[in-house]
Formats: sequence, structure tokens, C-alpha cells
Amino acid sequence: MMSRYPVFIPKLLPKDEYFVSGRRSCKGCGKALAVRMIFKMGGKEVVAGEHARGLASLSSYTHAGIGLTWNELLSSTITSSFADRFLTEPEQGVTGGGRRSEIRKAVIGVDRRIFFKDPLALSELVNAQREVLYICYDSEMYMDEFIKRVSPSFSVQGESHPLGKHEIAQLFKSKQIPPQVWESGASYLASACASYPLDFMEKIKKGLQVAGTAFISVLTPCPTAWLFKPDLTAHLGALAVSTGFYPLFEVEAGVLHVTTRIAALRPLAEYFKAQQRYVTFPQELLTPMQEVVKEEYQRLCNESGKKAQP
Amino acid sequence: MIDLPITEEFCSNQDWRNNKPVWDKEKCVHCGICYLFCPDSAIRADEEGYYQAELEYCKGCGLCARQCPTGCILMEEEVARLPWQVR
Repeated sequence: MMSRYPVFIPKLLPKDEYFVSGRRSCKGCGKALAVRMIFKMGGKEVVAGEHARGLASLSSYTHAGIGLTWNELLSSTITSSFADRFLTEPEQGVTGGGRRSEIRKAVIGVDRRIFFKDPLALSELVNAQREVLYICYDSEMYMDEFIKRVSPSFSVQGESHPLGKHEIAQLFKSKQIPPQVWESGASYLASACASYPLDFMEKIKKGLQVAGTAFISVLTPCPTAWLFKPDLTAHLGALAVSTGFYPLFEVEAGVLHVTTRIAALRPLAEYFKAQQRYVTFPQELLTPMQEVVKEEYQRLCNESGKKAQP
Repeated sequence: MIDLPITEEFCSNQDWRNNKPVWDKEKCVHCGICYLFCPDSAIRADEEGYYQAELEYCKGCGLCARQCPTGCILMEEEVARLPWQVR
């Protein structure tokens, strides 16, 4: 299995740190881990931009938190300023004499909540097939709004008949890769986790090399919001993957591959117990969720190697 | 008047951190996993290959101690040294 990764010793990674220390992130921040890996893999070739709310806690007040060009974007200007400045020249990285053969790409970090709040914000960029790599940080910051939006329909159904697997499955299917992105025809889609760093870095490398738009959704456990001790960040990411709650897969040239296969899925209750925020989770929802998670994982494993469908 | 450290610039994390990682050099196998998992990029290798946290930037989260395969990192409690206490 290790032969899949050309680099499996951390000492062989590039030593340059472009994501420098001295940030104001919380201790044990999962998002900081993820961004550090992006910069390890991208190096100097990456022009970084970010939707303002996603990483605002990580940059210091000056832009010197990152050793590269950094642009803070608001969702209203994401199409106009960033797209026009950086994406109209797709062959930026090709210098004279054929010295550099890699295509320079723009890397845009967005928070998962943008797909709930502002569904049209990214549709222009996602559909345009430009040379962009999107990293979508999923730290579940949208949970408050999500529950408010979803719970009226759940409570009405709860009165007449018990909540079924079908409704839960609908929510689960769009968790990692949002429906707008499936339909946009991106060249490379993947889901990754900050606690599987080597796998994540492989996916970033592929996303940077592929021609066209790439989209990676990263699960970044957040000790402040999910309420667990800060040294358990990597452990919780591992639990999310090994219970099947967040399967890791990639879609390359239309073909689906499951990148982390788990022989025996752990019970989902372990993942919920590790977070204090789920202390009031209703027990009757646990059984249908467990079944949905198992079936989704089985479906992914069965379809591995075939053409991908949402 | 107390001089409170409220600034926009970065001051040392030594001011408020209450524990720090300590490596046991006999158990360390130089795998580099602690270096990989630090969210603040505060762990560096010295010339011999042993790892050390830069105490200016370490926040004391404990991820390195939790991920170490040999268990050679221990989180030691320390009292936060605020600027007006050091003098």
C-alpha cells in the first residue's frame, strides 16, 4: 500500500515552510494543518487566495502570515477581482526556453458554508474550466444554519411517521462534493482529511498537475467548535474516516477510486461520543444514520474503478 | 497601571502557554511524524536529527505527543511566564 506514495517519510518532504509560525489559530487547529500541507506541496508555484471567512482566523492582521502572495476575497468579489486578475492568463508559468513545464495554477481556499449561503457565488468560476484548484475546508461551521434549515421538514415528518433513512441519505450524499461541483464537469474531484497528510498531499499534487478545474474537500476537525481536547485533532479525523462517516475517494478522468479502504468499519457512535457537541443527539437517529453510512460506503467500494455518478 | 499585552503584532506564545512538549532522546526514532503534524510548524530538527519545539511559537496543543509512535514526547506543565512576571 505504501508504494502508492512516492514520499512516505516525513523527512523527505520539502523543508521550506511558507506557512509560517506565529498565527492566531486556536491550538490544535485542523484547518491550519491542512493549509500547511497545501503550501508544502505547492511551494513557490502557488498563488493563494481565499474566501475571507474561511481562514480569517489564521492570517495575522498583516498579510505576513503567509510567505507568498495572499489575497483576501469576499464572496461578492470572488468572481470579479480574482478571476480577472489571475485566471485570464492560463499559461502564466511557462517561461521562455521551455524551462518550466508545469502549468501554474491558482489555488483558492473556500469554506464549505459558501455552498449553503451563496449557491451562485462559485458557479461562475466552477463552470468556467479554468486552471484552478479549489480546496474546500469542511470544519462543519455551517451546522447552526444547516440544522435550522433542515429541522422544520424533519419535525413535521417526525409527527406523522418516524424519520427514515431516505431523508438522511439525501443529506449525506451531498456532504463531501456539493451538487454544483458534480455538475460542473471538473477534471479532478477528491475528498481528503487533515489527519491523513500523505494521502492529502498526493491529492494536492494531482490537483495541481491536472489540466482544468480541480476540487478537493478536506475534513478539518475543529477543537473549538466540535468540543474536544486539542490534542485529539488527528484522532478525530481518523475516527471520521474509519467509521465511514467521511470516506476518502477521488474521481480522476471520470473514474472513481476509493483511496482509503477500511476492512471493518467502526461503529458510528464512537465518532459521536468523542465530541461534546453531540451530547444531546437523539438516540433514535443513530440507527438509521449508521445504516446509511454503511450503505454509502459499500456503494462507493462497489463502484470503485467504474465511471463516477453523484 | 498594568501594561497589558494587547497588540496587533505577534508576541511570544510563551506568555500564555501552560504546557510544552519534551522529547526523550533515547526513545526517539527520528520518524518525523511530530514534525508533520504540528499545526504551527513549530517543530524543527537539529543537527543530530532529534526534534525540538520552538517555544516562541509552540501553543502546547499536544498533537505531537498524541501522534508519536514510540511515546517519547511528554507534555510538561509549566507556568505561563507573563512579561511583567519575568522581571
